[in-house]
Amino acid sequence: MMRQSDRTAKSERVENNEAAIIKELLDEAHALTAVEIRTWSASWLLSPIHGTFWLLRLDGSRLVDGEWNHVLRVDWNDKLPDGSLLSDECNRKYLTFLQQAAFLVREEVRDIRSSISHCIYIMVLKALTEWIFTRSRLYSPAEFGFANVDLAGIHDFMQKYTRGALFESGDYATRFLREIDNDSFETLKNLKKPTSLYELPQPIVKKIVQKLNEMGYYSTTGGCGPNRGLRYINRTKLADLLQTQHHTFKSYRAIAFFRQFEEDYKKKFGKLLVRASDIKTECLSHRTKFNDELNSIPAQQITHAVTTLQSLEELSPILPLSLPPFSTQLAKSPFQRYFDEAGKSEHTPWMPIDVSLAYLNESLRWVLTYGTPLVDFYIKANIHFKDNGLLFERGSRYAGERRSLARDGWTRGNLPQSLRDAGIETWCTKTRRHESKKRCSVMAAMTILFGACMYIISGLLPVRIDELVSLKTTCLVFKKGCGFWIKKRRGKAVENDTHETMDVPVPRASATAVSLLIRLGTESKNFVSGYDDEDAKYLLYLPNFQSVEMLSIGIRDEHTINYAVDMFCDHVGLPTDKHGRRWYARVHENRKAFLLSFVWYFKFAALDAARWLAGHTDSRHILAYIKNNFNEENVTELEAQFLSEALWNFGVSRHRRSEIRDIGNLYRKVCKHFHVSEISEVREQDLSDCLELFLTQGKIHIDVVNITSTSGVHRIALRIRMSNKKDKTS
Amino acid sequence: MTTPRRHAAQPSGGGAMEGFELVDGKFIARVVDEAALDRTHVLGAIFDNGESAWRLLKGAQAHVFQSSSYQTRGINVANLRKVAIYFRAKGVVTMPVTASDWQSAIIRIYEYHLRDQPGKATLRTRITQWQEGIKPLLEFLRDVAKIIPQTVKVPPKRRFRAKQQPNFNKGTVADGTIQKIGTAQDINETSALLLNFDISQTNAEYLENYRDRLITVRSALDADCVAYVQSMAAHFEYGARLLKRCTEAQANALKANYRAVKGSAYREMRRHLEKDNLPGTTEISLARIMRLFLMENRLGGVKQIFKSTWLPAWQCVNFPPDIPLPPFPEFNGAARRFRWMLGFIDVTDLCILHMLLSLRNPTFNAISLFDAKLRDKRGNLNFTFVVNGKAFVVDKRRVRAKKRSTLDEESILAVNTLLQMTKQARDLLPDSSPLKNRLFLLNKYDGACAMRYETLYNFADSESRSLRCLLPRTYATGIPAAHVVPKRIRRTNAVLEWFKTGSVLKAARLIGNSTKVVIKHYIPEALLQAWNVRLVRRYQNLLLATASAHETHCLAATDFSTPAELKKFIDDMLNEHSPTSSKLAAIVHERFCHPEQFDAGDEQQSATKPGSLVVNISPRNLSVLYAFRDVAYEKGFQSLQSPTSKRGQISSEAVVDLADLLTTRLPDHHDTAIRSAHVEAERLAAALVDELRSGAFATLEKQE
Repeated sequence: MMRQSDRTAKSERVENNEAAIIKELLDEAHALTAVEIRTWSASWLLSPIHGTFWLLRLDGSRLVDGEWNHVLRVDWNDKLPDGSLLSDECNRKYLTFLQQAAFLVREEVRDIRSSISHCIYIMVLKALTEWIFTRSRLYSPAEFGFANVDLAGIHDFMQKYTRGALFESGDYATRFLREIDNDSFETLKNLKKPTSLYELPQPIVKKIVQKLNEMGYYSTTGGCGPNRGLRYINRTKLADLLQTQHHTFKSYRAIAFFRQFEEDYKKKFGKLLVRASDIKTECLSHRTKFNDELNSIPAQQITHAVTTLQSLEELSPILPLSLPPFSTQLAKSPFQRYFDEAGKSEHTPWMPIDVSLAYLNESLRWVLTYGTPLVDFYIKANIHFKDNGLLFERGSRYAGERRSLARDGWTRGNLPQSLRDAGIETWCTKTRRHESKKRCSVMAAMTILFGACMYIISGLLPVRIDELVSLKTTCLVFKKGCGFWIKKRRGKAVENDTHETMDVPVPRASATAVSLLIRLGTESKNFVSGYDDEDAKYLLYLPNFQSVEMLSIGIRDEHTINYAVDMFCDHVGLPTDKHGRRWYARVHENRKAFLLSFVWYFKFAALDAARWLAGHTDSRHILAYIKNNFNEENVTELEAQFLSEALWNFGVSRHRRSEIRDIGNLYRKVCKHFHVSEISEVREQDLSDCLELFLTQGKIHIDVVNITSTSGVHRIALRIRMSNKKDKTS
Repeated sequence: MTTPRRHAAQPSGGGAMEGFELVDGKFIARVVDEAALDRTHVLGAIFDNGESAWRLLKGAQAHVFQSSSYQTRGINVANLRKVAIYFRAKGVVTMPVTASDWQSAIIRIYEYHLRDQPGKATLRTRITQWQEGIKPLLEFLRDVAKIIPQTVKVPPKRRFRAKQQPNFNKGTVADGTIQKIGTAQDINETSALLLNFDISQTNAEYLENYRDRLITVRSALDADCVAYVQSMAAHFEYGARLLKRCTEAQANALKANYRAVKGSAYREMRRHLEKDNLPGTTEISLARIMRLFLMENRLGGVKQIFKSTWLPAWQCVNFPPDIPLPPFPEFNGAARRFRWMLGFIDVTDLCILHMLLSLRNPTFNAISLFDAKLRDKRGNLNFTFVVNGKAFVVDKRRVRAKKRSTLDEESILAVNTLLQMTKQARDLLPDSSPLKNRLFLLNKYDGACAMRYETLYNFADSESRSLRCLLPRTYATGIPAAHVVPKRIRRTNAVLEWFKTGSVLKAARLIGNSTKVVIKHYIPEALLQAWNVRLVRRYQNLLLATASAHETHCLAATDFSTPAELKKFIDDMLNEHSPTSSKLAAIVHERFCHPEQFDAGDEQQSATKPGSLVVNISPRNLSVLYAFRDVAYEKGFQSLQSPTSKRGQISSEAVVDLADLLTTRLPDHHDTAIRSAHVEAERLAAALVDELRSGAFATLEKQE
């Protein structure tokens, strides 16, 4: 009976869902008219097309009191290089074109199914805008848009954009020099030898530093990281000066440029491009690059730029201001070269497995050992504080101090022993810097616990950050005879901004972490202010551990997750590398590490499972992904062995004998016998050629496998090993 | 009254023509398959059945009949039929003229197709049908045939990707409290396989049982088919030999002798010739019956023909004692055996031949195999000889691809038997007949004859009678007769192959399709998921156990409930993955391995960097290696040791393992030179064995 009703409920749900899809499809069909009239409206655009901002639909967008919640906002009032705003009257023609282009890119040209991906195209369009307005004299964009741009121009843009995004395409380095000290800029222009803006002559640097000093552009770095107290050029002031947003200066190119005028940083970090902003972690991140690593370009950045340019080409029959078409059917697309370059670009770094195991072990300790008592105590304490007036009330500063002391006192009196063992002493400390590795407050411990939970979940299951953020409190399922499952979004599978979901297996430890968070979220209803039942369906709707008295609550985002994981990593305190960098785990790095290591461990047998976990539909994608990553410099002997074994299996044709199933075992057995990591077979002639080459290089040891019989000695195989002498000679 | 009109797609070249026809106010579309058989589709009335209807059909014709695959043409016609039906259903009785008329008509039929049409098709199927079939047809009418005005748009605006991912856990847990769920999973998915299975077992048990069950059924099918085909071939060979003992001339002479005796000629003949009065018990007696049978006017079944005065009653016919064995002892198809001896082939025979070829050559698509040609368009034979056996190429028209498979012994037997049995009838066919070039054709009493693919595989009769009578081993496994169809055989093959390697890529290569196709069509999602889940869980637990190896929370961190389980799992992992296989494996070994498990052997060597072993492939070298192995197997490993303990001696096991490894690999090596070196070495080894028997040993020496 039970099952019957379940099925009815299920089929009803399916029908409702189908009805909605049919309705959307038919609505769209009915809107088709044989005669071309564009209405410039679409279901994903929640605001008028020619407004100064756009609201884009997201999964879960809803209208509350006439205002859209959970939407993506795109502003169209950017400051342009010539000082005008994009939304100014003089740029109206251009803006109209740009908005129509942005609209048509999604609606007609590209297959874009979510606002998130749409935004990437819009960002490139904006970078193009900045670039073309630095070239106003040449192209008069306000009047002609991109109509006058030629291939040379495109190449200029691509070079700049792929190297330094907005910073380069908007030519901010030049703009900065001219703004601060036009004389220096003129001298620079007149130098006989052309000089890179990134390696300015010392006199000019000195002059600019002096000017910046006079103009009051230097500030002192705060935070608690290794760059605390160092003087840097205030980016917000710079942004005001150069009429832009401060995120323009976030690229490594920008850092490298401004670093020339930041003596303190240069002295302390040398060529390491440490970000000139407050660092909240104890050490530098492993992602901090060196000055000479700047030339690697993220592959996606190139692809996005090129596809946007191609879309503009396609739009030129509709929008006269768009880019004239360069590619013809006969000639190779001029953009192909950029795709070729994209192949060589950088990938997400691969966290060393011993580091990830160390973090995993500590996160297990936190979740399994401290997790439950800590959450219990946190909830109990907050309820106690609320009932006893120890949370925010109007009053003097003195009252605040008194409450703080009372909280600490209560904490000391009621803290269970298990948490004291974890080094927890007080309720809260004033700043992050007062926390130490061994001793911390309950509030800091909660952040660390949250970071540990995030680490466990993302370390044992490949998830994307948006999949993590969008987990629901109902995501956890236990299946008899199988184990725990989590229902999450399925990666990039999205239709009309609605994400598909999939169920994935998780171990008990992850389930424990999830259940801790569920408990924390639900119970916090009793003491936080502004609890929202609608938001509460998200797993990461958690109290803010930094607000002690107000006790605000909100859905964690990428930023706050990263902060918590950073806190966790600092608490674990793994040693840094020789440049003072530490691995601070990131969700996408964990995803990658899981997939690669999984396939590496189980070899080809794991490809399908990896494909499925990653939410791909084709094994070849995951295979390409793996190959891409195995080609990095960290291809060790082990990886070579993996490949050789894989190749060994592939060398065999499809017609096989049945006993061949154990070939892998046999292979490994023989490897062990002969103390080798791979076996290959070579024809006699090839072998002698090859040996000659090896022997002339003189770096190898060769052992001969002989079979001696009554008739003589037969050489059957060779064992070749790289010489250890190499280490001594090099 | 309208005069019947007909519009042919192809110039008439003998046989039926493809095209449209108007019969009794209904349009009919005709598709002709590879065996020149008609497949008609009733389109029904279109508009006024007049000029505009013909204009539409003529316009669509180039699109509909364009494909070289009759299956695709059939699908196209079916789509055209749908459009015709929708037009009628939505009251479009005259051809629209203006762009906006067309637009609204198209939107109306789109609506009808998606929402209103009767039938059980899921939304996803309907969307696919529209996007893959009807939309291209309408676009052809617009862009190429210029019947629909250029400005008309065909919805949907962009390809709709219907949701694909089946969700296996529909149940949810309210607010994180844990609910136990044991769902019987998507029945449709699992029944798409050859077997239906019980899902209530644990993963491992379930996978193992599932695999074993598949193996049982597949091998039963295979054994049945092989026995059937072997018996058929033997009977035909036997029959051919017998027929030589009684030529047509001899039979005519015989007939002349008894012509006078009207009405009971055979009885008379029998009295004289069959001493013990049992017709057919001797070879010559059976030969006579066969020859006389062939000389009859063969209409009707065996029993009907045996009513002839020149033949004994069918019930009286016996077989000689040395006749080839039937496929299995209980086989009761005496008439079938008689037909086999004469080289006649019926639908059942073709079906089992087809099944054997499908079982052994999973690359072949069932229908393409059925339509296989002996020679391709240029007249080249589709059989080619490869190193060890024959290869056969089958054209997969729908995707314009050729599938090639190296035939094994049984497949060759099946193909040869089929060719020989049909040879005579085939030779009689005129050159223009499309049948002449087909591998599969019937050989009936009245000559070669075409048949439809759809008539094969009709085992699902009452109480699975034909399954019981033809494929007894398969019947014994208890599978439903309706499941013995090529689709399921193909999936079974893929799943089994997949079990062998645990990799879909491998199965994909075997089946000759891309990965995506295999995942979607051949491996049941539920099975795939179960296997993958197990693998993922193993990996997760390995990570957890390794990370917390020396901690008190180690057991709690994993999904295991007892230390013994955890230990068993870790031991399993240690055995399966050597320390050099991956970085993680190295760490697992480092943290869990007991020191004595490392190879004691040569400590100094294992401390150095591992190198590569390069085997010198030449017939001479390999022959020494193989001879060494053969002697070791013959006389024991201990016999092959150096009499004086020599430095650098290698254990004979190591050499034997190396030899075994090479013999599993080299025969299938992609390099022909290496393959032939192996073959040559195996020949040479025999001569060397004697020499090595008197003493041999293996050593490892440094070369400076």
